[in-house]
Amino acid sequence: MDIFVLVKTVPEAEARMELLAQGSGLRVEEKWELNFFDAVAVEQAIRMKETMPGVTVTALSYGPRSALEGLRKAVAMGTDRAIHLEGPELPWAEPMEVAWILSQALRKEQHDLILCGRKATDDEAGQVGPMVAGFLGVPYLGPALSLELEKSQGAIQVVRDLGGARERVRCPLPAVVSAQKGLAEPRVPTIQGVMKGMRLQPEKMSPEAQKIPGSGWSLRGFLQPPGRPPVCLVEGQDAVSKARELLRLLREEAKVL
Amino acid sequence: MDFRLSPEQEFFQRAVAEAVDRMVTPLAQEIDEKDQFPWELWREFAALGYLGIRYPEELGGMNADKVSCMLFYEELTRGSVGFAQSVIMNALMGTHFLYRFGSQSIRERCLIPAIQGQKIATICFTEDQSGSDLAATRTTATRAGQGWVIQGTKMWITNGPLCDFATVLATTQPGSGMKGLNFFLVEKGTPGFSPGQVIHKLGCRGTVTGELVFDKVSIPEENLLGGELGKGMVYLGEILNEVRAMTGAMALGISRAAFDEGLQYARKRVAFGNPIGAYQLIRAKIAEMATEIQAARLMVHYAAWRMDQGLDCRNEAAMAKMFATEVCLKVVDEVTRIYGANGFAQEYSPQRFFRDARFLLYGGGTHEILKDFLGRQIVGKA
Repeated sequence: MDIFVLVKTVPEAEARMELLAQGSGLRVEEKWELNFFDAVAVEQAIRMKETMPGVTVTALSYGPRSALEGLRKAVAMGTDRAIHLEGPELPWAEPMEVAWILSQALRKEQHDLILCGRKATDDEAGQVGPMVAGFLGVPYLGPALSLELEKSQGAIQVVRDLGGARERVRCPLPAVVSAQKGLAEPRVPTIQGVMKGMRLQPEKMSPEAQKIPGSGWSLRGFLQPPGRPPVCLVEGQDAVSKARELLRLLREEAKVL
Repeated sequence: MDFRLSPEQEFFQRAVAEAVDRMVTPLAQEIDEKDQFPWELWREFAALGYLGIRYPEELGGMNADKVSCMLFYEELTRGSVGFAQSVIMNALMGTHFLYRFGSQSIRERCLIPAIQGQKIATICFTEDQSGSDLAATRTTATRAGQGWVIQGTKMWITNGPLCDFATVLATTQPGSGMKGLNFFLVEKGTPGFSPGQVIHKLGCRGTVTGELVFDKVSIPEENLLGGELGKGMVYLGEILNEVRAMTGAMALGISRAAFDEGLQYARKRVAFGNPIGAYQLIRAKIAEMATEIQAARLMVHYAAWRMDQGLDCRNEAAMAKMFATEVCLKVVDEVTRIYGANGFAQEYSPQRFFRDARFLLYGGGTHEILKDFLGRQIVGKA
């Protein structure tokens, strides 16, 4: 069985970001990590590999050189292969373009199950997984809280997170499943895994960029979100005096009471 | 000249940082408060394989370059000094002479289990009358048939009360100073080898430190760690620079932990209507700390880089240890000041950093000894 995991490298949560003049661009500190939800997907794939014979897990990424960092982490966690589709050194790419390029690469590879994170923590778009399924003409299920393989039936059962409710869905393979937090807790790699990640020489594939369907998507600029007001620590000798002070602040300064 | 870490080293540092952030840092306060060896964390962390970082892959290690080792020591110490000290003892000083000189049997019996975290290692230098002055070592190793008898008491032994084996510095020629010193392996269960008093420390809590008693302990010939008698100090010299740079890396770890806490506090603590980080005197503290931590890091990495290049680094390692530790002492002090009265409270972590930093003054050479050494190196013998 061949499982592919679509992985994206994103800036670390603590990486500094700075708007360029007039919001024309975004300067991001070069601190990269594997997108959290993709790490959940990698973990799920590796667990399937560890519990079932004959499973091969491949991490697949499209992007600039920084994409290597996410691939290194996936390999450190335990994927068998890592494929890098080299993209331009641009900080942002259109989700439809990414999905098209990934789907064209997947067409060249035997794949039974494709996993991905439910969204990337940088652009929060959550579009690539569903669009890959669309381009490949296979079912899309997600965000998944659990995944069971019915190997003899060539199908999977997924519990989807609907916010306040959950839904159990079954579909034939191949399929694309996006990982929700809770599907599998990403492991801390062992030193042997870390060494594999450090020594990674990913398989390179040229992205098939012809005939990318146009979506009309264009990046117009970046905006500064409004700053958050400073945190106010409530002072007091004991719980009662702190509660009194809190009430005073809510009434007199926040004016919400 | 290239000051950047390689992409591989950066990835390694991130991997260690993630392991520390997820496994060690959340337990740091508890480790300090209970002052007990964190057995569960030890087993979980050892299973990741980092205890073998500087040993070859065939022994379960990583064969890491020295710069990567420094990154590991720094990140681990950033999480918890008490835990880091026990780990580093197993990974470096407590096992080095077994790797360097141990027979195949010793490697299988002690070294590999220590790399796997199944056995706890230590090294014993200090005695009640000798610390910096190793020539005054009074623990003796006396030839007895085909082996040796060890007699003496060691103090301030990291992991000592818990250890499964110890590398022991002892003299085979009492009264001959450095020339008589050699290293011997003593294993738990050997008659006459027992733990003594546990020392309750100001900081670095969670690491169990104490006495080890050697009362006519008979050991076989193979437990002499070193090919030639009287070469103990020469062999120690092979590892001393690494130990000093490592102590500097530990200082970086505490400095970063304290600095990060201080920075967060300066951003969120409000006084006179603004976060205190908006005021010049607090900003000056932040700027000075960041600058000095950066300088200390460059010195530690430079010493390690010279080690990797096979260059002499005696001065650089001593300077790095001393400077990084002094920076650390300043940083932990400044962070308690940024915290105000909260820096004096057990509930907040700055007081822990303040206590832990003192621990670094002694290992790898006191600063009085290091200054004397550096002065002699630079001025020349009078």
